[in-house]
Amino acid sequence: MSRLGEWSVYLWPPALALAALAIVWEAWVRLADVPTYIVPAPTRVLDRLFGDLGFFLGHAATTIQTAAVGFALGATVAIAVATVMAHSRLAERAILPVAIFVRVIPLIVWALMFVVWFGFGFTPKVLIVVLITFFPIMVNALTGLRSVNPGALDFFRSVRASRADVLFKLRLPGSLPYLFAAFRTAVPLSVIGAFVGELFLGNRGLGSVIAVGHSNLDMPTTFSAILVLALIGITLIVLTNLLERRVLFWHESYITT
Amino acid sequence: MAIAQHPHIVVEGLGHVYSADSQRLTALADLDLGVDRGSFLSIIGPSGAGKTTLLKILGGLIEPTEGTVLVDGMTPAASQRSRTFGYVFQDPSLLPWRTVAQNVALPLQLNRGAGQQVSELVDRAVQAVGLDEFGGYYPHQLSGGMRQRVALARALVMDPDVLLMDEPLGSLDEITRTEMRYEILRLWEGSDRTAVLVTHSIPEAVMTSDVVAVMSPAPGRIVERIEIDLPRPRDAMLERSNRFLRYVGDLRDALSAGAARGPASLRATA
Repeated sequence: MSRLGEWSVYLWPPALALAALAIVWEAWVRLADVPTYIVPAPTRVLDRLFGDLGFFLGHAATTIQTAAVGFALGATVAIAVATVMAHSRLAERAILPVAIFVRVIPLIVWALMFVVWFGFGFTPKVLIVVLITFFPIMVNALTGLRSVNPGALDFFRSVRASRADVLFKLRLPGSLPYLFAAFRTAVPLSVIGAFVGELFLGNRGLGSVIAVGHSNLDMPTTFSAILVLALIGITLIVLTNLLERRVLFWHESYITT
Repeated sequence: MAIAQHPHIVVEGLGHVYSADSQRLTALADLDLGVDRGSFLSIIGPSGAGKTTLLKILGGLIEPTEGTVLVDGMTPAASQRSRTFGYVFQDPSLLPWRTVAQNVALPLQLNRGAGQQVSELVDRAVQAVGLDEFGGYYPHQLSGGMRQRVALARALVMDPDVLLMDEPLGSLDEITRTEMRYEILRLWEGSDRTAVLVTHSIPEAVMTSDVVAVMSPAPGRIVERIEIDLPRPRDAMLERSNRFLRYVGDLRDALSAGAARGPASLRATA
């Protein structure tokens, strides 16, 4: 009961705001007689969405799959690279400029390159997600791996802990708060990356649904896909926060006294 | 200098210079020290005298730039291998994602010497510091004093020959501090361990130690070595005795004399 009560405090204000927005929007479209191919009424959008729910969910699954695989790959490579850099200033000096070089080239340019190199399939879209998630995770992982409690490090050394133990039992767990801070931006970015990939080189996924819907002036379909995309983003952010709470129960930011 | 028959730790002509870029800082210079096996030695001195540096060198965490340190006739780095040292820092430095029991088990897991009896050894160490009921708690659920007890248990779980303590009570409140002082004393008096304690507190040094070594300001060296001839086991009553108070006075004099003389060359006269 109290748990539900806590949650409802966060649920009803935005729900109310959304409902108000939908009502004003609906009234405006009807009273001003706005054509559906410019702005569809919310009821038309929901009609389209629930009339063909399987269609949207199928494409949503594709987008989620691309985002998830890309995120997992991007995070793994980022943490591995950060680990190498945390152990060697030379490696940091070598890798960081290259990473920044890759980073400052606009994502769209990479998307165009990937079409040439990998075609229109799964691979180029995953690579876009990898590119977009890699950088924030790598930077934070590096900071996290470096900011180790000096006393704990001395203790590890005083019992002759191996380098692997220092990494897996001290540095990596200690960097989790920094990693989750990165995940909070990288998780929504992974969906955006997948979406952008589909928008330009997709035949499947919500991005391609929007691209096709847009070029056909099929606004109910376009808006439905946008709605599903937003819901995916929100759900993933909430899930990340819940996971963070669970994993970082020991961290200052979650200790309640 | 009165090095007795059975020196456990022998330090001769020790010097250490920290150098970063073009900056050079001489922390220790020409330092001699002997610690008898099974004795309790305190190191006291002004801030920045190099006490922590000295302790870290004894524990093999820093390689000195000059002089020799022998623990059991070996270099500290070599004797680390035989689980010689238990280390307690001013900050408990526990791993916040591990429970009390998991923190205490850490050195056994890292050193891989203990075999299957890990949980038994952990239970015993946790019990020894009076935290039997808190094995499943996380550090953030404990008070500062309890956390330092965990750090003490973590240092003792490997049954070290030498217990090195770097101001372990420095961040505690006065009441907890006094309580923990007797806790450390009790744990040591029931063992044959050699203990080295770095402290700022004169009463703490007198109460715990067989020998108090007084350091000069940087570059640090031992300017005075005072033997504390008080009966053991020691308890709170002793703190009111005249002999105790006289030692406290002697130490205070030695500290201010050491500070006044600064880095002048000097051999101890007790």
